[in-house]
Amino acid sequence: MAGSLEHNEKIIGDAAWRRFVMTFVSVFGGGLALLYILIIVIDPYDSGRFPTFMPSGVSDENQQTANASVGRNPRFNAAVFGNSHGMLLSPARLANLTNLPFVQMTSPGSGPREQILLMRWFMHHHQHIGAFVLAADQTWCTRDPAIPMLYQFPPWLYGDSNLDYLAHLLNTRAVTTAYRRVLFALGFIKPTDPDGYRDYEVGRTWNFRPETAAGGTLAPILSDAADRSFPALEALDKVLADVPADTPVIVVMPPQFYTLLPAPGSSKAAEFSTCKAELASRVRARTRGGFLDYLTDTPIARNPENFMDAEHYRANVARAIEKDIAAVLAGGSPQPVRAVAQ
Amino acid sequence: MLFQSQGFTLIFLPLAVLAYYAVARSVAARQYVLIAASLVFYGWWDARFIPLLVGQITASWLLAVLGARLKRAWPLYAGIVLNLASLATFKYLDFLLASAQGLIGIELPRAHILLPIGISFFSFQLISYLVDRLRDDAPIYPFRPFALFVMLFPHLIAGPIVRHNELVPQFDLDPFRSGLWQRIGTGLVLFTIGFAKKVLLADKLAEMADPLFARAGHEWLSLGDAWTAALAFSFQLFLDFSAYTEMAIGIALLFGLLLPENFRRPYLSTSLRDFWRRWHISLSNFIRDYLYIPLGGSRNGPVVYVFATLVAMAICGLWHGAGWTYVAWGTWHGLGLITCHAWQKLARPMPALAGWAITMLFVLVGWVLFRAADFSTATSILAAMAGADGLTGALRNAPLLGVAAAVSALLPSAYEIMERRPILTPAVATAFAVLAGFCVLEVGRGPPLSFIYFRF
Repeated sequence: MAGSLEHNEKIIGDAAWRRFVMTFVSVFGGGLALLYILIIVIDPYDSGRFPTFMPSGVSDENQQTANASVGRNPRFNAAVFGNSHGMLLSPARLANLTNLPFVQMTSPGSGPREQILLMRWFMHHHQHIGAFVLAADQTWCTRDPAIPMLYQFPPWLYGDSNLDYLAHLLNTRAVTTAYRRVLFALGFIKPTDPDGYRDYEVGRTWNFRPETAAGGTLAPILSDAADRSFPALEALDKVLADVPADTPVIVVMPPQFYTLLPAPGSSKAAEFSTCKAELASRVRARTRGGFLDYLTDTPIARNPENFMDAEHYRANVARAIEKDIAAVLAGGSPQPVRAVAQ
Repeated sequence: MLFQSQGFTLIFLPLAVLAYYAVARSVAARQYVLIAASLVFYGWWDARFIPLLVGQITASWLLAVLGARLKRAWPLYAGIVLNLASLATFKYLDFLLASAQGLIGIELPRAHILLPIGISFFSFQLISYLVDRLRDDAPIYPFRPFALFVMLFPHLIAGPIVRHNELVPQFDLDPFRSGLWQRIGTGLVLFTIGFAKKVLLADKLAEMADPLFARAGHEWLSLGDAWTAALAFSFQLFLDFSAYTEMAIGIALLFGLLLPENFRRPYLSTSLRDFWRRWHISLSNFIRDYLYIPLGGSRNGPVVYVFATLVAMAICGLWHGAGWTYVAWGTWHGLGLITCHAWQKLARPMPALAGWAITMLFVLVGWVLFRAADFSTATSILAAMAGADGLTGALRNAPLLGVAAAVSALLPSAYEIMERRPILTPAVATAFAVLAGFCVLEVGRGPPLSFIYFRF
């Protein structure tokens, strides 16, 4: 083989190979460097981390990355955080009910760690916060001190480190998002709704036929760990400590179909109650705090017509929760609604 | 650090190449650069295993030197035992305990030792050197080139398995000698081809094969799914491992070094013996030279031949992984080689197409054993492939399987590429650069998938 290399070399000569190598290195290195600089300047996720000539606005269709743009829009100063369990709370209707410019910052499939990053992002980009609504679910009751991320999520996009952000920009996803942003800037695609709202009922037909026996899949998230603290709630404490004392903070635990709830009287049910009580006491300790718990066995939770699937409630439930949130923001202390009309 | 990761391609490798050529006029300095780069590369996974790597190298070298000084063989045997003991402890201890427990029926504790990456490869290279010393077929090298021969990062984790006399003499060659740009250019081409095969094909095939093999562990697959699983893994394994080899050979060429051949389009083989002359050639050669022939080979009668073949291939299987499925896979190939040998003795040549079809079917069945987590999963897939659960379902993602088949069969191997007269136009260079750039972008989408052979 070495012989064949030497043989070829005599025929072709080193000059041709040198040109070949130089072309390769120039195109590869120069091309990637140029592309990288372009991506940084285009700012595909509208993160505002570096100077850009692109107009602001949401061009991203991926909710997990679109929140970077949504969360720094100065038009809004009140936000809903959470995962898909908070998605159906409409910022426009909340704004109508409360006169506060609401934005949706929920991220489907996320857990406390991701949601805290989004809260920090929103706080970092807003001097004044009108209201802070968290749609919490059982994931906040984890006993795992690592508070692991539950699904694919870009922490580098919302974290403090610009270096970490830069390390995640050289890939085909960033390239296609940057391309989409250029089309957006040129007017070829319309901006995505700036208040971040996505209605998961749109395009789907209600067809929930519950078959699961009661006693629940909420239970596995809870555990019998020796450490009796709730690390996610402790992490939430640190966030809330940075939210001005007079800013209203409301924690909502949206309903899920009753079969998912821990069996009554079980140790899991007791643990879930403890977690909820801890969460409620934290929020109620604030000057303007409210805790609305729908994640219980109520007529709402027992009616399949209130759900798209076992975990996700429908618009009629969302409207009722929005009214309760507005009532808390108005200074009231409503009991969470227990039944809703279809 | 994986070859295809952005950290390796954009930072580590360019820095290592620049540092190497900056000091390349000095033999010692360039060897130190390669040793330092190799230690960083290895330590990137788990720095705790660096002492093991350096310890095995140092101990083997000291024992070789002692053997030479004393003119005795026992230090060399001690070195072989030491390397085998390390391999047995770190790779096979829990397997041996589990097997013993199965035999005696008493629950035994497990060591749960983390497997040091690449241990099978560097241990085998050290053993081969010590055996060659016993055969009076290897000199005593100075420590630095000896250490570098074992730990050179392009081949350290997953081969090709290099013999000392293939590599150590190359360390003295001037990197600026005639053919510098050809070596670098060829290295870039091979690296890019391997990069593309890994990122654009092998990893996509893994997304097909992995869930199906996982499902087969607890439910029956349809005929279509079972064949999809078997075919997807067969192509994935070849494309993944040959991609690694091409990248390794390409990287070594950037430093002016030539690694041995490992593949020659094995899925074109028309017999099983042909297959083993084309598949993982460096391991086949090692097994032949250090196991099969010492066990008697084919020149001491049929009984010895059968014994040597079965034992050598079973050990070959066990080398891949600490599990009985690997032993069964090796034995399956041993039986196949014996059958093939017997047929060839009949002097009734089989038509090439029939030979290819039988060989591929045999290899495919073997890969199911090789990949399955246990015998019941393997049996379940093989039964489903035979239609035991009905003739339902179709091949999934047939276009991807088709492309994988075409690339496996038609794309020349690394050495075939080097032996051809290349087209050196700027357009070709640009095309390779764009392909490499696209792979960098594609691999940046998420954590890169490890190469299959890294776990062996």
